[in-house]
Order: sequence, then C-alpha cells, then structure tokens
Amino acid sequence: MSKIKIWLEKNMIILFLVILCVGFGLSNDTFRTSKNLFNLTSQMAINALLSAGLTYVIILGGIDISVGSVAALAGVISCIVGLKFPNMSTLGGIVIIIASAVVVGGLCGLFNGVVITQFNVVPMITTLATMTMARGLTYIVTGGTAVFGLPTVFSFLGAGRLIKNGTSPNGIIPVVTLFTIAVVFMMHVLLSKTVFGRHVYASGSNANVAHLSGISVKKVTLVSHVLCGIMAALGGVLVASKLQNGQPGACDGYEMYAIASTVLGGTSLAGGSGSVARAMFGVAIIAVINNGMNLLHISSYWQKVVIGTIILLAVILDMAQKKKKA
Amino acid sequence: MKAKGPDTMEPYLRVKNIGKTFPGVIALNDVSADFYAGEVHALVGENGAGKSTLIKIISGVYTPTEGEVLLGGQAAGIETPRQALDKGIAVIHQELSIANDLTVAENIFLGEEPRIKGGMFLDRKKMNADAQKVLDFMKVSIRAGDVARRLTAAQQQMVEIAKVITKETKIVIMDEPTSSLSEHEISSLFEQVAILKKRGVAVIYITHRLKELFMICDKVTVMRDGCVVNTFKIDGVTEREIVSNMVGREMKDYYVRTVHTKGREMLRVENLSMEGVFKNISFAAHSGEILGIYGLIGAGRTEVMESIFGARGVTSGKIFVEGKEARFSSPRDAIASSIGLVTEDRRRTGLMLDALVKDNMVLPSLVQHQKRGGFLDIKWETETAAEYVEKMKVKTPSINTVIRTLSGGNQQKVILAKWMIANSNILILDEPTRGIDVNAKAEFYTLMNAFVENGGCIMAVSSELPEIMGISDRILVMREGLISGELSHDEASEQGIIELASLHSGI
Repeated sequence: MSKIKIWLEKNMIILFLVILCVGFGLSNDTFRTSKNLFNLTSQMAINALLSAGLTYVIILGGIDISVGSVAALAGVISCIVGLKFPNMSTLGGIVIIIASAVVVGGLCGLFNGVVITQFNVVPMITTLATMTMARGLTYIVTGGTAVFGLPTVFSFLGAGRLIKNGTSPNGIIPVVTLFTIAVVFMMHVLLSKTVFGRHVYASGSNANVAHLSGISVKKVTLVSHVLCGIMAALGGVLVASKLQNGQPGACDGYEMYAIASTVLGGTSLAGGSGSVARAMFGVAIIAVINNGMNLLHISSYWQKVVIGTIILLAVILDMAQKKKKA
Repeated sequence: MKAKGPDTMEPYLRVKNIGKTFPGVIALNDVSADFYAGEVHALVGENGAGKSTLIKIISGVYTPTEGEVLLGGQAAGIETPRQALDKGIAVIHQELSIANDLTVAENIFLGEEPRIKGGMFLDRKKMNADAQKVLDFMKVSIRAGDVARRLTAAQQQMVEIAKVITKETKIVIMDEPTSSLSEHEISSLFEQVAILKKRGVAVIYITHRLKELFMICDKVTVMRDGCVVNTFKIDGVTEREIVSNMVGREMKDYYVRTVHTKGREMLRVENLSMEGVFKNISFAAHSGEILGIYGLIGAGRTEVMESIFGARGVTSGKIFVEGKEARFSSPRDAIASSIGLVTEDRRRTGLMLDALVKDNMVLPSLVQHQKRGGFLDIKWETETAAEYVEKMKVKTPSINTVIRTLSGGNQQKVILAKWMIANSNILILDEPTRGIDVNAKAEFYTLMNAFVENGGCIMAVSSELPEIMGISDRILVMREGLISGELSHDEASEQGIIELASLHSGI
C-alpha cells in the first residue's frame, strides 16, 4: 500500500499524463489514431530540445529565458547559411545547417555563461538581456522579413518521414522525432551517467560544497549554458525546417513552455535535482493538452490559460512536497 | 562611582535562576544576574559558555525553560524580540542590522518614522532634523542625510547607537561591538558607551577582549558551561583572576588519546598573510601528528585554514607540501596535493543535504575514478561507499539514504570518509565535533587517531578547550590574526591557552 503511495507521489506526473491521454482518447476519435500520435511526437520535438537544455541550467539553480529568441536567431541564420549552398547533398546540407546552428546557439550560451560566472549577474537578468538582443539580431539579419527559398534538406529534416510501408507510402516516423530522440537521449546520458553530469547536480545542490570538493562550479555553469544554447538552436532549426522558411518572429514565448515542461517534470527551481527523462513527461503533458484541446476546438487563448494554471499547480505541489520534507 | 551609587538602587533588569535546555544540551543552568541602570556590566566566558543564550533570552529570541526575567521588579513577560524592543531592550549585534540603501536618518527612525500631523505622509524634515540632533549630541561627524552604505563599519555602529538613544532604550546589549573596529574607532565607541551610561541606560557588554573590561565596565560576570561562576566589581579584580574563573573545567574522560609517533614534515607554512585578516603565520605539521589550533572567534583560525586549502586568497607567504612549494589557486589544487578540508559548518559548506550518502562520499573522487569518456564508475562508487560506511560505522539505513536524515555525528563521519576516499593525507578539521553528541565525538576521535597512526597529518581547529587539549599533540594559539604561542601537549594548561588567546600583548 505505502509502496504504491510512494511511487505515486514520485510519479504523479506519469499518472497525470496517462489520465490526460485516456480522457482525450475517449472524448475524441482522432486523438488516438497513430497518425495523430506521431504528429504529437513531432509537435513535442522542439519543446523537448529546449527543455533538455534548460534542465541542466535549472538543476544548477539558474534559468535561461533566452532560449526562444536564441532558437529564432539560430533558425534564421541556419536558413541564410543554407541558402549559400543550394546544391548540397542531403547529408552535407544537414551537417552545414546544424553546424551553423550549433555555433550560433553555443555562442549565445557562452555569452550567458560568461556574464553569469564572470560578472555575477543573476541568470534571470542576464538571459532576459540575451533574449532581447537575440530577438533584435534576428530581425537585423533578416531585415524583418522571412527567409525563403530554402534547399530541400530543410524539408527532409522538418517534414521527412522514414520507414515506408503500404498504408503510408511517405513513411511513418517523422525525421524530427528520430532526431530529437537521439539528441535528448545523449543529453540524458550526459547528465545521468557522466562525471560532468554529477558535477552539475553537485554544483546546483550546494555550490560551496562542490567548490570545496575541487569542482570548478564556474566551468560547469559555463558548459551548461553553452549546452542550453545549442539545444535551443537545434530547436530553432527544426522550427525553420517545419515552416520551410526562416521567420524572425518564430519561437516567441517558447521559453515559457520549456520552463513549464521542465518544472512539470519535477526539476526543482531551487536546483540540485531533476532529470532530462522526466522533463520529457512534462513536454508530453503540454503537447497532449495542446493537441487534445485543438482537436476539441478549444481556442488557443483558452489553451494558454489552462497551461498557465497547470504550471502553477505543479509549482505549488513541488513547494508543498519540499515543505513536508523539511 | 556616582553620588547615587547603583548598589543602593533596585536592579533594573534581573535574571533569576534561569535554565535553558535544548534537546540533549543544557545551555544554561541556574543563571542569576542583576543589571543596574547607568552601569556597564560585562559578560565574559569561553565560546559556548552560555553568553549568547542568555542575551537571547533577555531579548526575547528564546524563552527560558526555568526561572524568570524581571524588569523593574516585575515579571518582564517578554516572549518575542518585538516585545523586548517595546520594553526598551535593544541588541547591537556583531553583524549590524543597518539597511544599506537607506539614509542615516531613515535608519535611525526605521519603523517609527515621524509623520506630518500623525497622518500617512512622512515628515522627512523633522526626521532629518531630529536625527542630526542626536548625531550632534553624540559628537560624531555623520550627516543624517548620508546613505548608510557609504559609512564605515564603525560609523554604522554609531548609527545603531543613535537608534538606541532616540528610542529611549533602557537596556542595551552589545555583542562584541569592537571585533571589527580599529583602535581609534574603539575609543570613540567607548565615548558613546559613556554617554549611554550617563543617560541611565543599563549596558550589557559582551567581549572576548579582557583589557576592554577595565576601560569601560563597572562589573563583570564570568560564565562557564552554562553557569555563572562569579560576578566581580571591576575595581576589585585582575585580568588573571577573570581568566582563572573562565577555566577550571574538569577534563572529560572521553578524549581518546593515543600516543602518536611524529613522522616527517607534511605541510609547512611560511609567513602566510592576508591583509586585515591574519599576518605572518608560520608553522609546520607532520605525519603522525594532530596539530590543534585554538583561538577565540574572530582570531583568524578558519581563514588561515581556508587559505591553505586554496579556498581563500593570501597577500603573501608560502605553502610547502612535503617539502615542495605549492601554489593553490583553488581547492582543486589542494585536493590534488592530498589535502582535505572538513569545514566548520556542516550544513552550509560540508554536505549536499538532499543528496545521498554515497554521492556525498565520492564527490571529490569522481574524476579520479571515471571511466573512459568521462562516464561514472557506478560499481566503484557503490562498493567504495559501502566499504566506508562499514569501516567507519556510519549508522545509515543504506548508502542510498538522503544524508539530511542522518544524525550530526554520522554526517560528520561521511565527510571524513569523503576525504579518506579522496586519498587525503593532510586533513584540516574545522570544529570537527561541533553539534554532535558525546558518544559520536568519542568515535570521531578514534577515527582521527587511526588516521594519524596510519601516517596521516591532522590540523584541528577547535573552540572547545577540553577538546583541543584532549586530542592535540601540539597546540598553536591564535589571537587577532597572529600566532600568539605554541604549546606541546604536556605544557598546555587551560589557563595558559586562554591567556595566549585573550590577553593583550606582553605575555
């Protein structure tokens, strides 16, 4: 009895996800089709990447609200770079656009990390500034209009599907989904299985102790922000690929969804605990709610209200459990 | 003495038979003392003698378990710090409680700002004028309109005193007010204390600097182990008498001391200095030796140790590990030279409280034991943690228990294990047994002895005299940032150590 209770307390999020899926599945026929479920995974992809990066930063006790803008900046820059290589092979094209996004995202993350560790500016303010600057740069490099005429590699990444069969001649599994699973899996392994990952937890849990145990908390913070920037940039590339153009206004407000997913997944805003895998449950919940409500023709305005409420409930629940522990 | 001597009057504040127990600890036992208006009454005693518990009772932070506090002959009925303030009891803490961004006047009148016609608008003109009047009366060159942040520590203290004067305070408790002041600033502080005295305020003055007693105090009460040992009039007592009242505790038999064989030099420090904190610190520590470091709070012990560990900068000086000069720019360098630090504040700087026993134990050693590609060696972690839990008899349900739930003594064992796993052979222990019970202490000493017998070197900082005398092969005493003496185990006496730690120059 008590074992079930403990499991439920730890995994309330999974139960919640199951209830949501069952609820939407029963009330809507389209929801439970495999086509919709694969759609769902590709809708989750961008938020999954952003949340995976944010998990590192939030475990450190920090935050990065620049991820949406960084995604947009990296998205348009990868489009601009892509335009310069119109005749590239698919593989070569993928390497080029992803490399350019990684550079842009990595630099943004490095900037955040340097300001935070070298000048002791609080992460919220640092990344607020970066958010504004990155968005501004996005409009500057695009001249305020969308970047069109992208090479085909973009459509492969954004809309391509693999594993064709009789009923689905275009393929079943979206490339986006596979790509995201691969990247998120690496981020999960890095955090949970490596010494670096353990140092992230230690630095977030008690920076003094980490420092006195020979860990360079600054380096850990710097690397985490770089990773977070890179994840945001990869998300931005996927958005551009899906839209088939580089929109300067893309990914607006995505940071909020990513933060919400991470927190829903049980990563403590106080730092020290959390996991990439669990953040994915948060990502799934938000995607399912959006998707389900879309299918039920609930307006997107109301969807925002609902998601906001759920975030609040998740944080209140987190606080209540902390209080009980202390 | 004034014409109307205080002795002929009723004491203004009287604590009677006060007892205070915390779970497992008797902090105060049958403490009685009388404090008179217009008198400066000092409280002295070793760290942990019960001075701060007593002032916390007087100022409403704690409620006593037994006994009563009388104000003007009646039960004081103070249960919260707010009530104490309302009854005219003010505490000036070591760490000042000044709002840095407010002006001096705003600080002085904080919470009691004058309003225009008693309405909701602030009467800034009156506030500034009144504040300036007080500051002028005190003859200090502080302007009421200055922002508090720009003042020196001494000036901020003056603002605290100005607060006391404006509030018509009856009792002022000063907790080591001179610890951060220069000689010159101290003398101007004493002038203010004299003013308070003249205004009929009862001043309770806590200090570690015995010389100050003879400069401004009328009486001194000596405390030891939660009891009042004696109250003297300052005219009829000498510094040495006060010291001998502070000591004289029985040596407890739980200090497990084995005779060690001193080996080769492990660590040598030459002229280590940090401006304003400590100066010209030189000593050597050897394998097979427990070097005790004693000093009062603020003597610079912890700072020296943190500097050796690379956690704090130095302005000059050299550190040698096993004869070779070492430069530590961060703890990581010190750890690589096999040095480990057990900090004095377990909860803040010693443990990741919400992490597992295992994770705390292996933290500094992860890099050393990583697998190819930076992956964790989970098998090594688990086996090592289990081995040390067993070896050090850590009482924990499992290595996967959250360390917060363990007792202080077991937490401390985990921290010790952490450095043993990291192969430290020089251990710095800062207040290693603070807040742990007697049995756990004995076990901890046994572990320390075993470490030293295996060729390790321990430097142990402690504020507890019996402990430092019980465990050390050699004792360094620090006072105000300097090493004031070195004693072997056999020549160390409580009296000797306290004299080195607290008397002013000339010994």
